[in-house]
Amino acid sequence: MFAAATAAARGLGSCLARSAAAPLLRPPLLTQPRRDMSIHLKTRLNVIDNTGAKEVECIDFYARKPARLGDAIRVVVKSAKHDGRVSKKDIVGAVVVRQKAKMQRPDGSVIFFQENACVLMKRDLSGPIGTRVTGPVARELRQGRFMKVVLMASRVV
Amino acid sequence: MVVKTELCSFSGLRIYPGHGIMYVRGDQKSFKFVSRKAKSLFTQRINPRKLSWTVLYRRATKKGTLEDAMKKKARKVTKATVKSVAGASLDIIKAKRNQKPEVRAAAREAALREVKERTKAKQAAKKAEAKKAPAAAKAAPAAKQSKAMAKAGGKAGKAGPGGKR
Repeated sequence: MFAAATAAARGLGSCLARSAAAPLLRPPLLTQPRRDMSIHLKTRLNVIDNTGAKEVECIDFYARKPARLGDAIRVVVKSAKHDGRVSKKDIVGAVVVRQKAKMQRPDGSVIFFQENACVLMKRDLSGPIGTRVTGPVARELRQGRFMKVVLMASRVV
Repeated sequence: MVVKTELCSFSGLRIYPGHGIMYVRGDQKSFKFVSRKAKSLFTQRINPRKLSWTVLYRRATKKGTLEDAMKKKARKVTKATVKSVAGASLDIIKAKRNQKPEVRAAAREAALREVKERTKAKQAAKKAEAKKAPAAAKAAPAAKQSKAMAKAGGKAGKAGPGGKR
């Protein structure tokens, strides 16, 4: 314990000495681990279809981990309207349609969204549970088996 | 080949293919940024009109518009050229241009003199007629009256058959 404290003190001392030697240098940055905004375990996503679910939590991955735009995930419904097609604690499939993390496209351009959002799918991913999608979805959905979601969306970006 | 470019929604600079970041907001609006700097300033909600390096600032403060106006004016001045007009071909116009003022003045005087002479001749002719006229004038009115009567009668007769239809 004591040894560690002295080591820390020594470290601090050396740092101070360095700053005294070169006062024009910037102070050392207090770096924080960067927040990864892609879809991990326990990530909460907004639901943008008319299934009645409001928020879901990611619990498993079908394609890759962490999930990206256009990837299928398994989710648990965390909050829902009482008269919807799904209820709280239901486990369903979902596809990521918007993500906060930046995603690079084949042409080199980069896209990112304001929120993490998904559309609920049947558990075997055979089709969407809802019948309507609000707001824009990513173009990446076209490449997978989610053409039905693309067709329901008002805008594809 | 023309490269298809887009405009940065913050700075107004050109974005070439393969560059830039697109941000899609929840209300379906999408914003394209040419650089991280533009994106950062946008997320800080800084007004691009207050930053002197943006296109919006230059447009708002009318920077660079004066030079364009000068260029346009200069171009207009150089446009003046001689063209042939209907009835006067280029050769005729050039010939008239190259005439000396003395020649032109002489021509004008000659023309004026000719006109004057013509008017004089006309007046003389009128006077001569007036001297002859009085004798004939007395006989003329009667003849005219008879002619007018004849015309009116003829017209009435002709109009008759076609009047009622």
